[in-house]
Amino acid sequence: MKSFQKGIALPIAYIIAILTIFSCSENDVQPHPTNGAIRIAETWAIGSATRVELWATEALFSGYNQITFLLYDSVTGQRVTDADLQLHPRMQMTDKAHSCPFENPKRKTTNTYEGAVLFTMPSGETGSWTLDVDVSRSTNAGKAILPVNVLPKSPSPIAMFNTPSGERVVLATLFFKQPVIGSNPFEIVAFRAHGHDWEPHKELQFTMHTEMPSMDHGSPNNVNPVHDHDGHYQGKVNFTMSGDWRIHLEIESKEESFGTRSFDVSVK
Amino acid sequence: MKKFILLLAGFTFTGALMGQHSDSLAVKILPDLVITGSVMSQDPVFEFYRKDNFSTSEQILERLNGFSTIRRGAYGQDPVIRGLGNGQINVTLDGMRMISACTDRMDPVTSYVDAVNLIGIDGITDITASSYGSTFGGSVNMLLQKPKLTSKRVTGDAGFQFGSAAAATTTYGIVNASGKAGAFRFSATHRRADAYRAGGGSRISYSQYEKLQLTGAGRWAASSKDTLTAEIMFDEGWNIGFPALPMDVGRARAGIFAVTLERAETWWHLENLRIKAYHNRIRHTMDDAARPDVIMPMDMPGYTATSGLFAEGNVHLFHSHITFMKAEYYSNTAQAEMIMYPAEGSPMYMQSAPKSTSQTIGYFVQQNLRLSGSHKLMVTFRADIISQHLHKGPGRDQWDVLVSNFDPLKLDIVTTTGLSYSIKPGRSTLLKLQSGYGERVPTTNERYGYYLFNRYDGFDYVGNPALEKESAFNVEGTFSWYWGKTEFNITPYFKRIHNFVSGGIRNELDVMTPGALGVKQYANIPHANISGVDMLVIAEPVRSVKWMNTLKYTRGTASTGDPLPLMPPLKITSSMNYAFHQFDARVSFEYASRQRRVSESFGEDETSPFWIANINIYWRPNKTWSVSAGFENAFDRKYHEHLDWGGIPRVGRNVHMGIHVSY
Repeated sequence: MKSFQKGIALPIAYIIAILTIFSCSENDVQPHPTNGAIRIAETWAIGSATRVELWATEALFSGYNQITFLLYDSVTGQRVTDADLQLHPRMQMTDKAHSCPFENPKRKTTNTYEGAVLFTMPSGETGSWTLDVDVSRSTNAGKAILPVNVLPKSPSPIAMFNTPSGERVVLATLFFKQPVIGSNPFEIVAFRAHGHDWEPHKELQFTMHTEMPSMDHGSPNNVNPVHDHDGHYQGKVNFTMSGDWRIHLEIESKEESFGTRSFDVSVK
Repeated sequence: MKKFILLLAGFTFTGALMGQHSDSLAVKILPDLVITGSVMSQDPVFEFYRKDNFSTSEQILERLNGFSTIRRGAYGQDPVIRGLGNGQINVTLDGMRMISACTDRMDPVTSYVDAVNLIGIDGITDITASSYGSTFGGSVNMLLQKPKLTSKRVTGDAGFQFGSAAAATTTYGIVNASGKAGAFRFSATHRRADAYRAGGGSRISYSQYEKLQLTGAGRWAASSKDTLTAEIMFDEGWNIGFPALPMDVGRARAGIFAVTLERAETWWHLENLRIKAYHNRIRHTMDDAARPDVIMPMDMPGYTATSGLFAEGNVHLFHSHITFMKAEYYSNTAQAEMIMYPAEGSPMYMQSAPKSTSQTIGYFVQQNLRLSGSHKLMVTFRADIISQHLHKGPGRDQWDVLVSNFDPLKLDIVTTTGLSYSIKPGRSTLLKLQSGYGERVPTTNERYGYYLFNRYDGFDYVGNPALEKESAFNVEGTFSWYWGKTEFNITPYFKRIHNFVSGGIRNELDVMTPGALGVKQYANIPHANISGVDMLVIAEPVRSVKWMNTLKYTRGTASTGDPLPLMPPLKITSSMNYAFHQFDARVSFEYASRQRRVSESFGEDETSPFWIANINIYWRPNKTWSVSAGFENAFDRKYHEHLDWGGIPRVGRNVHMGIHVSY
């Protein structure tokens, strides 16, 4: 009996030792930060010894795109955690070029860099988009040039208009997930032109109502979007049934009324 | 106890009806399945309907004293007891709960059981109605035919009838196979009708229907003391028009399954023990495919599934005084959808009745006390615990639009109590006084219905999860007088209903239905009063002539002082029957007074008075064959009753002929 215990004790100790050595603590387990996302483009940021990957939850489209960058050191292959990123989206047309609103990426705890670009038009015969990314690391700096294809979005989630005082304003509507029957968190992102650049527009007021064009009715108890941070306005929109809906936004600032802009939404 | 039992033709009653109430007749099933006991008493007013199997369940029901039906077409009339209906009354099938699947009440439970398969309809307006569920409105229990043990191995019935007003045909066949240890019964019934011709000649579009019902039942001696009964019913209706509604029924399908164990001898202290387990399900599809110029084509399917179990029996807690007890559980899951198809764009979907499950645990007790030879006391009590739960999904999410912090679970406890005292002051008189208190939980549609269009008042209705339960105090007295073959019976009654559920306009909500006038939401109003009287007079002025008369009147008033909607006006029925050798001839006359007390907020108009006359003749040359013929609405009067939606005229002169064979 003793010899049997001895005989079995050794293998068990061996197995425990192996499991201990090769097992990871819970803190070590990191889900891939781009789960459910697709890789849009990748390139080298020349001069910064960094490989840049651009990810998004869907193909880039004309509208507000939340994007994620993964940076890898070109020597070690390890994830880069000490970089600052500066975006320069650029639409190159035959005779001119222009930018669009964006939010520079910030590093998250998962060592991803998350930002946003509000593409104001799709890629096409009239021009193509390039996303330039300045990568500044503690020891060096470089630029990544990412040609990106921006698809048209139907129905369009963006509206652009000039205010009576001549200011250029861009709005994009944003649902965090596919709109469904019931109450849906709803966000508007607003920018205004500042020279050749864009800055968040924080002084807008929205009055929202909904309509189902084919039914000639709306939905009750919507919550008008109000400013939360950096040109982001949070509200709630209600859909009583699935189908094609239209969101009407009366837009004004403290001084001016900018009229009503409408956004079509397909509710599943 | 006031109780209307109809015996339908062609069936000698040998089926088992366990004594649910003290004055129900004791029917015992002996081990060899021979059923003894008295034949159930029958209400002579409705003798007419014993003559053949051609009347529908609803046609029979609306003749019962105190009963009316809400009519939206030629099919599926909705029972009303003294002005109360829907969730205010119980409708059961041999004690089984079954929940309609249509949010527009196109398919009351009564529409899923053909009269061919009924022994009778037990319409209860008194305090014992709560044996079928907490109620203050009353109960309708439809009593199913059972397989019969007969000396002949195979017996049966078959019949065919044609009615001219709608080119309507009814065809049925019944086979009863009897063996030594068991018996089986099978039936098939087919009814079909075109759009009917109203009085005066106009054709009522979208009033056609067709349906088929198949049933099978077996009954066996499970042991020397126990009888086991298994029943299956399939009912399918299609192409059912509803002229008073904007939509029709493409298909309505129901399956009903039940197993019943009955014990003839006392078990423990329980007599007449009956345990029943059942399941039924309905799929109901409403659409407007047949309607022209539809703004928005739509389908509205609905589904319900109900499972339940109950056990009931008598005990003698107080010596010879019978105590009837019943415990039951049932669960119902229901869902109704609306799918609209715009000319352009995506189809639109919502759940007009969000998917919900309602569960009920109930207990009923009825104590009968015979105080002396002429004094009787009866006390009833029922308590139910009822939960209503909305399932996760779009139906529940819809409610986030209307209610913040929506609670998908509601739990209610409802009770019903009753006290009845009867005295026989003389040999030919009976006086009965009854009083009771009852509660009922709002239906899932009243709590969670989502933009249900009501064609009557033209409003979309949304439910109200915060609805309180309705409660009511009832009082009624019955005076009966018998003299020879003459009987006089009068029952005045009064109900005061608290937290009465009614629709209130919500101007801030958009209509969902194209063309709707607005949106109403169910709400409790402080109270409503309902009073009325039922009267019955039977006489036999000369030999072979029986004269029967009924009178019913209901008056309803809301706490605002406005009349309640859908209250039947005074209605009088008088019927004279003459029996001569192989012939029976019957002339009946119906009169309803003008209804001036209308609910304008519900969109009601005054209803004109009317009278109609019916003539029927039966000829039975022998025991095998019988022939019926007659004229309904013989003078082709154009009329409608106050409870008929949309004022759609009823059937005009209908010449019908039927032939029936028993073997």
